[in-house]
Amino acid sequence: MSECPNRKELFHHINEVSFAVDDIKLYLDTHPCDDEAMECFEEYSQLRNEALKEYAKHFGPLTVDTAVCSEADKWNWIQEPWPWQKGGC
Amino acid sequence: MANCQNQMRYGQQNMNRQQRPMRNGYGMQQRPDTNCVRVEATVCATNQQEQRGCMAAEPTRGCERQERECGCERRERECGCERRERECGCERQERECGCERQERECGCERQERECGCERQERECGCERQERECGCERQEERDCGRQRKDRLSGMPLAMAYVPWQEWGDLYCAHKALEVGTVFEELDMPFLGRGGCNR
Repeated sequence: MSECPNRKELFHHINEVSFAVDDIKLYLDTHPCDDEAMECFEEYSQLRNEALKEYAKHFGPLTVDTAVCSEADKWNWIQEPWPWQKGGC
Repeated sequence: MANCQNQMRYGQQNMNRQQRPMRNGYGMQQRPDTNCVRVEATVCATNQQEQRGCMAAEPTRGCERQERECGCERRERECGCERRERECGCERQERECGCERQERECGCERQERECGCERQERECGCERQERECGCERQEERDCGRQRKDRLSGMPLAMAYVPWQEWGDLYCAHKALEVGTVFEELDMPFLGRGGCNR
């Protein structure tokens, strides 16, 4: 993706899909054999991973799993402001 | 003599509480084996030096202490100190004061404080007035008797959680707003005051 996304909107999208993943994960804890739930989980989990990678690419990593997805040529885990800091959404 | 004993008794309490040193003739009031009537008369009526001392100290002394030292009933009334009347324990004075007459008529001080409304407190127990005051405690009890219990016949003291089936889902945006991705679990709290819906 060449165009830089809106940082705030992308961060909000990550929050939305992350919540869906967590809620479906709770359902799967008690329904481990539910195929529909598993399929939905995989769908939202994929959306979340893609959004996290995109965020890390443009604005720095939010999780350590995407720490190497940044376009920077150096370790920038602590370079970008955290979400709760000024300028970090 | 009863009044005299009361004055002596409360005078001693005052001394113990405030830890004030006794002064000259006033100290004689604290002695249990002293005829306090005679001592008070001596202090207040005949001993001009003592009386002047009491009057002169008025601006700098608290009203309670001065009343007790002087023993003059008239000065106590002029003082108008409610707290001292209560401490005195004299039922007649409290009624004249009027400050606690309602509480005694109601008969229950604790309920008044919980309810927060004097009128309701006095007429506590009336279902109509409880509705007016917003207290639904009585109504809850009535609703509990009339409500159909879906779990009737089930063993008591056991918690039951129906098994959730996979159903319709909210979109991610809506799910984050309402707090669940499952539509059937979107149950905002609509109760008020602990009353059943």
